[in-house]
Amino acid sequence: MNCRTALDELTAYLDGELDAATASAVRGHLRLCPACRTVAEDHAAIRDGLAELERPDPAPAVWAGVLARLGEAEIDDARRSRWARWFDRVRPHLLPAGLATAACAAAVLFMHLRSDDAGGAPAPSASTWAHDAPQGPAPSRREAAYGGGQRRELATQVPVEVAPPPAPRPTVDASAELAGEVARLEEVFRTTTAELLPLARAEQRGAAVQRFDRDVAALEAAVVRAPAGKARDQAWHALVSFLERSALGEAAARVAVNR
Amino acid sequence: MATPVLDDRELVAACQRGERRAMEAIYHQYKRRVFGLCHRIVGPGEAEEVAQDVFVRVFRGLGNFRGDSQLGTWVYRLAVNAALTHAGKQRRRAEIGDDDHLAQVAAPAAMQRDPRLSDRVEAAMARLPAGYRAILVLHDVEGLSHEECAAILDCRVGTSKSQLHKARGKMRELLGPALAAERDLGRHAGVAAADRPAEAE
Repeated sequence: MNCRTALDELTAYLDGELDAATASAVRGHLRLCPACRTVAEDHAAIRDGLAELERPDPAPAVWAGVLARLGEAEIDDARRSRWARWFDRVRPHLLPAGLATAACAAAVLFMHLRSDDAGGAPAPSASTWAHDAPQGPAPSRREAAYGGGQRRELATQVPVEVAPPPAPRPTVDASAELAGEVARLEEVFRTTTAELLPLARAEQRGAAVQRFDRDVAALEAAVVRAPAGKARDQAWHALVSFLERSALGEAAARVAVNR
Repeated sequence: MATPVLDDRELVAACQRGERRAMEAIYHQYKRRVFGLCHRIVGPGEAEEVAQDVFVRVFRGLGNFRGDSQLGTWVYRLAVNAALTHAGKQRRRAEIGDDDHLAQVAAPAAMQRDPRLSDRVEAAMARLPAGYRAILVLHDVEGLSHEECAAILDCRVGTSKSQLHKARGKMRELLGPALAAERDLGRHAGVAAADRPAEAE
C-alpha cells in the first residue's frame, strides 16, 4: 500500500469502517511511514476532539420562545383567509403538478408535429401585414366616436400571423356540365342518324320506301316532341335502332345494338 | 404516578392533537442535539434564534410528517437545513461588510479563552465552510452513521464519507500548530492512533 492509498482510506480506517484485510494493510503502512503516521495522529486527535465537544444546553427561554412563536403563527393562521390557507395546503403540490402539465403539453405538441410531418405538412402560416388582409366592416358610429378609426389604423401596422388563404378551387357548375353532356349525346345521335338514313333508305324497295319514309318521319317527330332527358334519349334510341335494322338487317342490327 | 413513556409515533400523534405535554417531550428529547448543531453551524450568538426556528418548523410540520423516516432524522434534517440557510445569510452579510458577523463566525471568543485542544477544535470548526461543519457535527460530534448523515443531508453515503474526509483534512490545516503541540505532549502516541480502530474491531 502506498501513501496515497493509505491517506485515502485513513478516515474510513479511523472510523472502523474498513474490512480486516484493508485495515491491517493501512495499519502496516502507518507503522512503516512516519509522515502518514503523523497525518493519522492528527486526524485521530481531531476526531477525538470533536467527540469530546460538549453538547450545550439551550436556555429555558428557548422553549418559551418556541411556544410564543407557535402562538403567533397560529393567530396569523386564524387571521388569514380561507383561500390563503388553501393555497398553503396545495403549494407543495404545485411544482409536481406544473411539471406534469408541462410534460403533457410537450408530448401533445411533439405528437402534433410528428403527425404533421408524416401526413405532408401543410404550408406554414405566413406572416403578413394586416393591411394585406381584407378589410373588416366599417366601424360603427360608436367605434368611430371612441377611437375605432385609430384601432383600424393600428391594425394596419401590426404584423399578424394568419394562415395562408386556401388555394382557389375550380368552380363546378353541375347544371352546365349536365347540359353540355346532353348536347354532346344529341350530337352523336344526330350524326349517327345522318349516316344511317341514306344506307337504310337504299335498302328499301318499292312501296317499302314510302312506308320507311313515313316511319322515319314518325320517329323523328317523336324525338322532337320528347322532352329533354330520358324520354328524348329513348326516342333517339328508337330512331337509331330502326335505321340500323333497316340498313343492316335484323340480325346485324341486334349485334350492333348489343355492341 | 409515573409518566408513561411514549414512542415517537405516539408522540407525533399526540402533538397532532395539540397536546402540550407531547410537544414538550419532543422538545426535551431533541433540544440538545438541535441546539448543539445550530451552535456549531451558525455560532453561539444566533444559535438560540435558529433553534427556536427549527422547533417551530418541527411542530408546525408534524401534521405533514408521514413517518417515512425516523422522527430524529426528520428533526435533524430540518435543523441542518435551517442552520445552513442561516449560515448562508451570515456569509452574505459578511461579504457586504458586516464586520460584527464576520468576527463572530470566524473567531469565536472561546478560542482566546481556553487553549485546550477541544476549544481549538471548536474554534477551527467555526472557520470551516458550513457544509463541512454540518458533516463534522453530525458524524463526529453527534456520532451518527454515514447512512444517517446521508439521509439528513439528502446525499449519497459516498458523498457523506468524502465530505467527512475533506472536512477533517481542512481541520488539520487549520489546527496545524495545535496538533503539533499535541504530538509533542505525547497525548496521542504514534501507533496508538493506528491501534485504536484495531481494538474496536
